[in-house]
Amino acid sequence: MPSMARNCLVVNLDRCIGCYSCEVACKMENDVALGERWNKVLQVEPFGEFPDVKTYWLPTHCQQCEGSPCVRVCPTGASYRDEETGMVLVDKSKCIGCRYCMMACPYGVRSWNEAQQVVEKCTLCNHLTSAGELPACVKNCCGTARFYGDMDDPNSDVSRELAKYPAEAIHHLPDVGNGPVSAYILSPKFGEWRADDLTQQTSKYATTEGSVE
Amino acid sequence: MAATNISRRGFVKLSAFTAAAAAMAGSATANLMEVEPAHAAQTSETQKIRTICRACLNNCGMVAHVRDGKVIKLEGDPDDPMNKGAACAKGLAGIQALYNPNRIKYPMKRVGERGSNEWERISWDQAINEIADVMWEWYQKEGPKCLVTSTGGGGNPQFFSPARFLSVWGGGNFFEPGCAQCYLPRNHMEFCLNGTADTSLADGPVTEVYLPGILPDELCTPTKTYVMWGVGPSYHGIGSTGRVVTELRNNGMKTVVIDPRLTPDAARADVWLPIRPGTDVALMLAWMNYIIENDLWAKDFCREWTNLPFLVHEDTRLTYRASELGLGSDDEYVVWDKNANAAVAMPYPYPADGSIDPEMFGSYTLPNGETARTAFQIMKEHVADWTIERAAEVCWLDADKIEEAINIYVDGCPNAGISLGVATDQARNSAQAAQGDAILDILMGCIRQPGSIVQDRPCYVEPCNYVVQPFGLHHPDHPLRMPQEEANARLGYTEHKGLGHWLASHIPTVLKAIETGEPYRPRIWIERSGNKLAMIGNAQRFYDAMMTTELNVHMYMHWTTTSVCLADYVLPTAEWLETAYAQDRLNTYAIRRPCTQLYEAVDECMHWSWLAAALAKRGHQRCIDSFNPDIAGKFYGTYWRTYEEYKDYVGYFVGSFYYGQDDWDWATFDAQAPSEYQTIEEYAAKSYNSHLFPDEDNPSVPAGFHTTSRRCEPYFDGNILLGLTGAIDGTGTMEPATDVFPASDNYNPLPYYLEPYESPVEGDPGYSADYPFVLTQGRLPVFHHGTLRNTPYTREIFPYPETWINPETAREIGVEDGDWLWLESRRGKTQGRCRVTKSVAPKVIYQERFWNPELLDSDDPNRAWQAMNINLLTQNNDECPFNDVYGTYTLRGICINVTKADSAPEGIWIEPTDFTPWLPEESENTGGGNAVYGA
Amino acid sequence: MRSRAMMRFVKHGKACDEGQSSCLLQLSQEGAIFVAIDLVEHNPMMKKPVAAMLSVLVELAPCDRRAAEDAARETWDAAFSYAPGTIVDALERAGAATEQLTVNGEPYAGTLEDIQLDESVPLDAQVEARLNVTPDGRALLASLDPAATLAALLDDKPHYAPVFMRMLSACAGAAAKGADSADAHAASDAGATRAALEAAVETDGPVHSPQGERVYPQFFIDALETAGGIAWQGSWVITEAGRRTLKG
Repeated sequence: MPSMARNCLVVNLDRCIGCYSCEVACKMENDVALGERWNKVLQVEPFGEFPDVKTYWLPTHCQQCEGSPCVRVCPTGASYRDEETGMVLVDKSKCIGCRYCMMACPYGVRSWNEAQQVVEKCTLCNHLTSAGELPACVKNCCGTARFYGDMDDPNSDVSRELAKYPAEAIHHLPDVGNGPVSAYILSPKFGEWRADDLTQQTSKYATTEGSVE
Repeated sequence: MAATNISRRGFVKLSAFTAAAAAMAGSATANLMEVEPAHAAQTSETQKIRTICRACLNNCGMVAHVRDGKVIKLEGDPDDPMNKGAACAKGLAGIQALYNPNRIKYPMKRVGERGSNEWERISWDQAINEIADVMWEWYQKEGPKCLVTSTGGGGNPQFFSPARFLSVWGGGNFFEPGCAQCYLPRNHMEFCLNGTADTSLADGPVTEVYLPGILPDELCTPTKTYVMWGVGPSYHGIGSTGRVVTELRNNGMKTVVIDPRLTPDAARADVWLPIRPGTDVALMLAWMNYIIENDLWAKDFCREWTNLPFLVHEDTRLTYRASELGLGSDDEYVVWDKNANAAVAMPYPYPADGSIDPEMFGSYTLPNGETARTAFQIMKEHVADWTIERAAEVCWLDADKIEEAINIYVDGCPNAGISLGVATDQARNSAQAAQGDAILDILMGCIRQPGSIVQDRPCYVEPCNYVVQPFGLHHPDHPLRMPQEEANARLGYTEHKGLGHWLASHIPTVLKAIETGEPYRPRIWIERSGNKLAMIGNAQRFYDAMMTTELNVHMYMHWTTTSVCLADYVLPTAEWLETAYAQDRLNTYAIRRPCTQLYEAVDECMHWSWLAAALAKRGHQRCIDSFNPDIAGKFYGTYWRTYEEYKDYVGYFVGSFYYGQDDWDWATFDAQAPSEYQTIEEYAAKSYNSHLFPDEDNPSVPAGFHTTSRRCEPYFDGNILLGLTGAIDGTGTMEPATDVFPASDNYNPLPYYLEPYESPVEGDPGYSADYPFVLTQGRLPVFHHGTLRNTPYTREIFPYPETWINPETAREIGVEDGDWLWLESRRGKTQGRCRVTKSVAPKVIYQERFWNPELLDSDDPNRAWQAMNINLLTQNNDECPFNDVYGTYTLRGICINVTKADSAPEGIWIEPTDFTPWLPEESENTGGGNAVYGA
Repeated sequence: MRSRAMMRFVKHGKACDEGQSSCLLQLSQEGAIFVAIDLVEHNPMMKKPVAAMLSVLVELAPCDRRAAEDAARETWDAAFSYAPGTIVDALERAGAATEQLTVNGEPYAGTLEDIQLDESVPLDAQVEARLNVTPDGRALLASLDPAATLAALLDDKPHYAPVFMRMLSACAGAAAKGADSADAHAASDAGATRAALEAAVETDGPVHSPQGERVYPQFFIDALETAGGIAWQGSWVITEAGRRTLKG
């Protein structure tokens, strides 16, 4: 099998300051409808005993899974993985709007385009990256916390950022066999990684153990 | 009785009107406007225009993509040295603000009663002339005091437009909801003490943090510790300040955050002190005490470069001059010399040969038999009771954490510093907090050292490099400077002399004057900003007063509560994407280029200019003179008849003050901006130890600090002078002024703590069991003051104000996450929605200011500023004393009660798709109002 | 915020014209009177147009609305920032006036909008809107009478009485006094410029309140104009009521 790049996003949560710029930059760039988000920023409600509490912001977007369930369940092949770039994409011309992929995605990062009646999602701004630019969310990030590149290229931005941190600081969203490629950096001093124990309360906040007692 | 000819068919309502604001709720086609033909060149190529944002005061470099005269995309400018390509949600929302279907597009005149939201469109010519007619008549009847102007916007670039107008008008008042409640206390007082600069991160003077990575490493000492006291760069600024603090923090800078909220900066700090709102000065006094008790203060700096060793008169509390004791001249002070064991004159500069070795502490007997203590001794005694434990109790903090925080700070000194944010400017200890903050950095010698927060890189044109200046601001003899007598008559100035630093008036005194007519009644209100009813404390009082004026004019971009509920005329101003301006960015000067101009909107500087021209036509001599270059002079420029004239003045301003070129116009500036006016090496080095540089006038002595004594003055006896005579920097003689009344009580040379007037502490006289919780506010990353509640992509993120409540308090009240709530104070009640979170301490409630544009179109437009507005609860009346120096009223730290509500306020929009009617509507580049009117 | 002068006027029933006092003694309707007075207290800009319209109504009522508005328009000051119709609406809401619709002479219960939608009303029916003034409206007009308000002003602030009297004198004088200034309109033969009035106020130097605070000439000009003692006609002239007060 030809080796494919594994392009993805890495977010450094030590740096993320929860400003929503990435959320809005993405919407502006891709004309995403009100109420839909290709990249949603959640805050993990501070947990621990006040005032020694910890918190982090968790921008959540397509994790570019290796064994993407969204690709597997798609009846028409509209949801596919690009052979060269490794990106998980949607071919809107083939999408019939069954939304199985939305149900299959463990992270809820696929959006329904009401106007076009198709599913859509983060494209890693390939229209920009193919012209040598960075994705909108990466360019505009105010914490310099977002990185784009090929996980398999040691010289890529994502690889170089990850290389700065020890293994205990590198995390992935829960893997239920889908193999998320995107990674997050969160140093233990800023909080324990709680991805397995998040309950979304509102569009912005998720609680975890110790958030409210 | 004569029969009429009215038949059912033929009946016509008396006044034909169109409810422009009816378009707000969604009939997007119900617009009045016929769009003017496009002015811009039609091209299918996309231009990329380098400009600077103004969604907030970070002024981040932006690149605007423009095609066919329409702005289609925004992104951060990677070459800007402060934001380096970052762009936050507020800036990115610029397109939605620019093309919001409910812009104020044309001059509008009220048709029905004030507040009835019935309007007719009129021409600029009619608007300017009708307003000028009213102004002229009242000017003749009662004089210039009939006018009160206001602005806002948190550093809106034309901040001094109203003051410029008033100087020409010849009198009157100007206020801003910020001002004494935002930045003025720090901007004035910190400079008075440190003779260098204030420490506001948001407003621009903190430049040191940007140097690492730009300044070559071998020349750069990165800041080692940054104390952010009531500062939240991740929320207030983001693209520039938030970004750079995050960068430094990740590169090893230690931070201490003192903030009732767990902001992102607090969450990433080495120590977070969740301080009880309103108690900051108590903590500062404890820090001072700790530093003095533990002998941590910078010995050489304090001895040689502060007034701490100076002997102080016990009764007057002023530092002695040598001449008073027959020891020397007027401009020498008095110290107790260890060598001579006697009081001696202390000359300037401090003798380098060590011939004088002043005692820092102690009480001594003077030649005339009086005893006197050193300033430092007075300070030491003043703070002696403020132990860490006492501060911990008052401030609701842990004593160990306080100590840890101080030591982190001290370890970094002098390559360190404390930025003070707006929080302390919003309660009655505002002046004192600014004093405390300045004193701490002075004690630790964190002044003008590499890495220090306090640096000597002044704007070449104070304050803040605002391009539009009041006439005569820097030239007391300028013919168009506001006459001193009128300036002294500004409302509230007598008691609160600090307001004079911004030529401003005291809002509660203005309201009282409107309510009672005494000492004189403002008749006409011209307001150039967004949303007073959402931003002013105790909003109901403001509404009641402003309903009684003769004429209200609102200049703004969007329909707000001011326009709908209070205005008689509404004049369209321009969004940042439509305006021209200039802004310093470290050692470079950046340019804001107009990317398009819509409808008949106009940069606000022209509104005032056009009014001046209309008044000139009617015979107002000073207005006539303001167009005369021989009288106005080049420095301030004349008033402008066209936008081109204004733009050329901008070019002249930059070229003349920053590039040493007297002949620039807009084209010259535009051709080379952004560009360096000095190298980064020069920019950095001009501050480090600049007090040691040779004095310009007398190179044989060091330049010193910009104070009376040329040293830092942590014991600021100039405060007494300020209160008595209005001497704004505390300089001058102590001769009583004849033209201005002294404040009733002397301002204190040292900071002191005032328990919040409404106190949550049981047993305190200000405590009431009816209002057991304390309310604070603070920024959110997607709004800037009252703006951006009507741009869909920002509003859908925060559709309603969240009431942050600690889980323990939530249980006590009996509310859960998501519940709609009532918040109530002694002044009113409003609603919010519960967020149960450990981001705040028990008993501390946080809710940010909010208003609901969608309610302007309802049967009761006033609900727009009442439904969920914590400024119904805040205080600005005489019940609670104001700050002495600035008249600050209380926004943060009032006491409230919280109960569960049955439901959300009726009619508010909270679902993302509710905001669909506000999605942007492209519009042609018409050239704006400048294309249809010129004075 | 209600002016104390207004309150006292109502309470003590100082009437200026006969026939008014009986209205004022209806203190059992205190609430309603205050609604009417509140109308102008809350909106001082409405004071003059309200007074003008009420004067017309009191003379013509009961009358057709159109006719009343036409009559008001004849002397309507351009400086009033309200149209006559707006004032009539405001007076009705405040309980100072009532409007009764008739269709072909018969009373109709409803508004003009109701009539337009009412299928049972013939298309060419004759519709009239009849206006009447209520006792509250008459009381309101009386309260706005300068003789009453001037007296209340002097009563309320006796420490300023000498200043007010000097100002009234200055306005009553035949020649305009005061410094020439390029800002002034050509002064009329009667009356005083603003500068002259300011000089009249500060004949003995700046004036201070009983609490010791400076009070500026503008306060006095404002108070005297509001009370109806002087009026602006390109310069400050004394009114009839002002003249009577000066005579004492």
